[in-house]
Order: sequence, then C-alpha cells, then structure tokens
Amino acid sequence: MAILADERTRIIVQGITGREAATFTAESLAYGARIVAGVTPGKGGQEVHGVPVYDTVAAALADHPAEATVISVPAPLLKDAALEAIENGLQLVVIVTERIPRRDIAEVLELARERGSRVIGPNSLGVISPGKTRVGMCGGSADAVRRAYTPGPVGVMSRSGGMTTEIASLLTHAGLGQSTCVSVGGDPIVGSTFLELLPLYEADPETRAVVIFGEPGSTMEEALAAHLAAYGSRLPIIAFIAGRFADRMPGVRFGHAAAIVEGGRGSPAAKIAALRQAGVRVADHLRDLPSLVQEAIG
Amino acid sequence: MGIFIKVEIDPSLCAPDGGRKLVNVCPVNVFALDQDRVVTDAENEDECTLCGLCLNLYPPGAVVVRRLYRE
Amino acid sequence: MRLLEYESKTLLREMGMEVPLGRLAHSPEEAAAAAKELGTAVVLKPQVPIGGRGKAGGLAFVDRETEVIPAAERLFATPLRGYEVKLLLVEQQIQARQEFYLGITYDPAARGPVLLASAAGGVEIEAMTERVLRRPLSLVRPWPTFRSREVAAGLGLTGPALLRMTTAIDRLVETFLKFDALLAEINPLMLTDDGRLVAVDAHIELDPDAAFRHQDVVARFGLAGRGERTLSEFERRAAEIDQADHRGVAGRMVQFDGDLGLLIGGGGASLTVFDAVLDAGLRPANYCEIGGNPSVWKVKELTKLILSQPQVKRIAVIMNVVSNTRVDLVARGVIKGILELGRDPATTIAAFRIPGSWEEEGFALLQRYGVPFYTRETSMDQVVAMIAQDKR
Ligand code: SF4
Repeated sequence: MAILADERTRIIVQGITGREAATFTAESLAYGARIVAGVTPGKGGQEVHGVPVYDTVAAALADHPAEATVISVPAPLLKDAALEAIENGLQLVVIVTERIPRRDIAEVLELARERGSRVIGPNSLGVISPGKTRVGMCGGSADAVRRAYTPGPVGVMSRSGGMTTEIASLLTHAGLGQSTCVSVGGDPIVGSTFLELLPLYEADPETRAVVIFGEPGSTMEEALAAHLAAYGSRLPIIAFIAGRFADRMPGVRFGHAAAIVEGGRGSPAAKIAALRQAGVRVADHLRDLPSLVQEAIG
Repeated sequence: MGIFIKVEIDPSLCAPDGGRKLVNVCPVNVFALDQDRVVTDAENEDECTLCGLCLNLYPPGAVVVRRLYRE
Repeated sequence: MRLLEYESKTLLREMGMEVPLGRLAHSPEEAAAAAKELGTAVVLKPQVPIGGRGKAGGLAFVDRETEVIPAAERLFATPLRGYEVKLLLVEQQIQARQEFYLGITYDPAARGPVLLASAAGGVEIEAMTERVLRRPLSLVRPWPTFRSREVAAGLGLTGPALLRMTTAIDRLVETFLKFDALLAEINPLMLTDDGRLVAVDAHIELDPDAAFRHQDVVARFGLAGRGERTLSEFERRAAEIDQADHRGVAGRMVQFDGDLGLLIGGGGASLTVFDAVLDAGLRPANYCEIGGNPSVWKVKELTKLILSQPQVKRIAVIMNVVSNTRVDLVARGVIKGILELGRDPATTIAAFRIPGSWEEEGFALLQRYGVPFYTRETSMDQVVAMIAQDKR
C-alpha cells in the first residue's frame, strides 16, 4: 500500500511541453508512472514522449480519465492551471511551480478545500510511492529513483525537495524502504501540511513509521507537535529539523522562502522542543535518522 | 585548452561541408567557425557535457571527444 | 516589498481613504515651507521602512512655526535603527476621539488572508490587549459589505461612525487585493470629533512574487531592489558571476570570517550542512549555494572567488543526492578553479560529497586529482564531521 498515489493512479501533466516537464514526463514513464495525457494551451495535437497533448484539461480527461495532475507552468499562469485542474475534478494536484503570488495560491487552496481536491505544494518536487509510481519529479531519472528509493514501511514528508531524495537514500542504504515520500513544498503556504498528511499514513497498513524533515519558518512542525501531544499517533515519528544555526543568526535568510525566522516564531529550537515534548524522536544529526527509525519499528 | 576534455576534429572525414553542422549541434559551443574552417573553441572544451551529439553527424573518427582524466 | 508610509498613504488615498493633509520634505527648509502651508500644528515623520518610529523617538510634534527647523534638523541627523533619514513627511496633526487598528495579512495556518480589527489603535497589534476581531477573507468570493458592517459594529460603533468604518474596511480590503499586498495596515485609524475617519499611519507590503502584475507601482515608487540586504564587495562579485551565465543557480553568497570555504546545495541541504559545520566547530568563510545545472565556468569562478579570501585555506563541496546538477561538471569547475589559482586540488578540497547524476564520471575525475570524495553512503553531516577531524 501507499498513500496519495499508487500504480493505478492515472496522471496528467499540465505544462507538459515545457523543458523540465517533458524531462520528468519521460523519466516518470520509465519509472512506471501512468501518465495518460498532457495539457499545454495552444499545443493540442502534439505528443511529448508518446503522451498526447491537449489544449484543455477537460479535453484531456474526456479521452483519458485521470485522478492526478502535476502542474509545471510559469508562476503567472499557475492560478488558472490549478483552478482548471480542481474544477475538472482532479483529486490530487501536485504543484511544482514556485514563486507564485500569495494571493493566487491562497485562492487555489481555498477552492481546492471546497471541492475536496488535495494539493501538494507549491514548490514541491512531488510524491513518490517507490516501486509503484511517481507524481512529479523527485529523484530525477528512473534509474536514479530506483537507486535512492525502495519500497518499504517508512513514510517520508519533507519541506525540502532535494532532501526528500537524500533521506530516502539514507533509509534505503540502511535497508529501510519507503511507503510514500512527499515533498510538501517549501513555500510559506502549502496545500498539505505534515499534520494533514499524517492521517493518511496512519490509515496505510504498510506504513510503520514516518520521518519528517523540517526547516525554520512556518508553524507546520508546531501544529503537528500540538496534535501529537493531544492525540498521539499509532505511528512512531522521527524528525530532523534543519537550520538550527538560524537561531543564532536571526534575519539571515537561507534556503526556502518559508525559512525565515521572525520574532521567535517558527524557530528550529522551538520546533525541536515542541516535537520532543510530544514524543517525537528528533535526530540531532541527519546521519542518526536511520538508526532512530530502526529503533522505533524494532 | 581544455584540462579535462579534448575534442579533436579530422576535417578529411567531415566531407562534404567540412564539419559545419558541428557548430550548431553542440549545446555548449565547443565548435566554432574560423574563416571557413571548423575549429574547437578551447575556452569551451571543458564545458562539454559528453552528450555525444557531435559524434553521430559524420563517419566514425571524424570527431573524437577525449576525457583526459580517464587517460 | 515594504512601502514607506507616504507611499502606503498615496495608494490608500487613491483608493478613497482619507489621510491627513501632508507634504514631503527633503530638508529642514522644505519642512518649514510645508508646515507654513499646512498650518501650525504639524507632525514630522521620517520616511524609513521600520515600525514603531514613535517609540524610537522618530516623530516630532510641532506646534510653533519656529520649532519646525530645529526639529527637522534633529530628525534628519538621527538614523532610526540604522536607517538614515533622507525624507520627512510633514502632516497636519489630527485630534482623535478614538483610535482603531485595521489590518489585513496572510495567516499561514488558515492559508488565506485575515482581517484584524481592534478598538485600541496606536499600539502594535502584537501588544494589543483589547479584543482583536479576526475575519477570514475569501478569495473565491467577493468580500461582502455586510461583513465590514459587522466588524464596524463589533468595534462598538454606531450611527454615522459605523457607516464610515464600514466604508473604510471595504476600502482596505480593496487595496489589499488590488495591489497584491502581503500586509495592509492602518494604525491608528482615527475617528475625529467631527466624525471623520483618518488613516494617520499606514504600512503596506507588496508581494514580490506578484510584482510582474504591478510594474506601474514598482516604477512609480522605485521599488526594484528595495529591502534587499546591501551586498559586500565579495557578495556582489558572486552575484555578477551568477548573472553572467544563465546556467544553474550559483549565487546567494553570504560572507563570514572563517577559514573553510563552502559550496553547498540549496534549500534544506544547505541548512543541514551549515548546522553540521557549526556543530563541528568549523568556521565557515561563506555560505554559497549551488543548484540547477551550473556551467563549469560558473563553478570555477565561484571557487576562485571563495578561495581568493586570504584566510580561506580549504573548500568543502557538499550537496544532497542530485538529479539535475551534474556531479562531473561541478567537480570540473572546482578543480579548474583551484588549478588556475596555482593550488593543489588534493589539499585544497577538504571534501567533495555530491552523489547523483553522472557521479561515476565525477568520481573518476576527483580520483585522478587525488581529491577526497564521498559517496551517498556517507551522509552530509558525517562528511562535515570528518573534515573537522582532519584539520590540517
Ligand atoms: S559531446 Fe556534446 S557537448 Fe561535447 S563537444 Fe560533442 S556536442 Fe559538444
């Protein structure tokens, strides 16, 4: 089992004729993802790596029913593309695009909540259920993905796209496979937080532990900690929070847009304390993650 | 000259156009036109991505991409 | 992009909100002329991008004409939290019967804008003890006027004041949305004895990611580049290298004073590596992230720049497992930069740890030059720990 997407999930790619999208489409197909159609307005009738291209999502879905979409379009066009996906009933919307106007993404997420679509991202590398499918572009080429990601019992949620693959690779090397890995996105506002994805992992019989990678800024980790403190979880949770140095250098802004620390809110130290209080195993060093997972699942 | 990559052209094998197609095919501009001759741009040799596009335009041996660090 | 007070008020006024009568002054003399034009009781307000100017001693209330020049001279001569004062806003003083706070900003937890209103204006919203009304704003449906009326009533207003507040809230919502603001705040919004509502101080922040939709505002106020950190000479050169070649991102250089140069992956990886470097007691010379697929030239130039600082002995090159960046091209760039400086890659590179695409090619190259490199089996922070053990 897996969460969000598996080998049956049918996927369309919005913006498929873009360079990056065309590349990850080919790679995902090679990995076994069921990409059934692509959409680029004005390029209907073309093909990208054998995938038919349509002008609208409606036309694509009429010929090729699908459950999920990956959106990789320029930021000014994102809102319209995402609204189109949601209005056409796509249940899983992965947004790769970054630097989207705040108002646009907030509008997209509001409509998604009303229509019951699940949004991952923006600024996400996507979702990968090892051995089953990939919705997005985590991990690069099919061979690289097979090398870094292996099927198994550990769920991974990461605010950093690149670190999603790094963590999967560390786990794989330690003999720990993954159920589903989610790059939740690095922006201040994202469609799915740790707390919102946790119940999906809890409902997945295959998942036996969840690893999260957190960063300064946002209150995603704090919200998860508050929930765990109150209700607990059937799953052991292991966390690594990067950017502790930011506490020592307030205002210096590295990494993602959300990773800004202002007035103590969202500081890594506060996140680590809250998570530990809630019973989460927080790794002091990245390299300790696999052994903590090992310990937790026995 | 490239420290890592050396690209060699054998013009005699690049008939009939002397290798002009190389200039456009290379994504990192390793080839350039000097008057009428196709030459390698030493500045760019080390940018070679080993994509192999230049190897298939002319008969084998017309272009050789050497990885000096493997020799 | 934080707008200055007068810029914020310009937008609000154009959207139909009343603001105090005011003039800009670049010198004490201009301030005196402005005060003369506006009448006797004025306030002089330095136009600097910080909040809480009053507390910082940055406002001057002047009631006599002769006081204007000395007060303005003092303000021009006193930097506020590091900002030099180059511009004053001279405004008529407003007598308030009551002060309110109105603000709209994004609530990350609610994932949308929220309107905040309080009947205790004049202090910072974080410090407000009075009840703060919160109303989420829909972006899917238009904001209905009755919602503004409910808020106005919630602030304890009745009669004409309630109607005026309703309009003021509508105007603020329109302003926030129209200009793609991240924050639009009026504090205080003053109710005068004659029943007017005047935005006495205002603070608007625009979304840099939406700037493409507001080129007119950007040009009008000269917002391009505003609020960015002033770069050191070293950082400026890194930015130049990045801009000279569009391939890959290899910029975001921040200078520190340590002896270990760093070339590291962006985002979460850079945070992880930086933590590990400080934990291990190493002293970073810089922060420099690379991503995408930078050219050999770009990596080479950045390597040379980092190593050009006399105290920098070694450079560490560390990234997460990469899928886009080419391991071999980065390796070429780093080695070439070091060779061009006449140094030995084997001793100058403290560690090279980039696993991923084209790693076999990269590792072959590194091996040829005797550079210590690590594969994906060694985690990024482990590599850093090994550098610390191997201080030469
Ligand atoms: S292999 Fe590719 S990059 Fe290298 S010289 Fe040939 S065409 Fe250019």
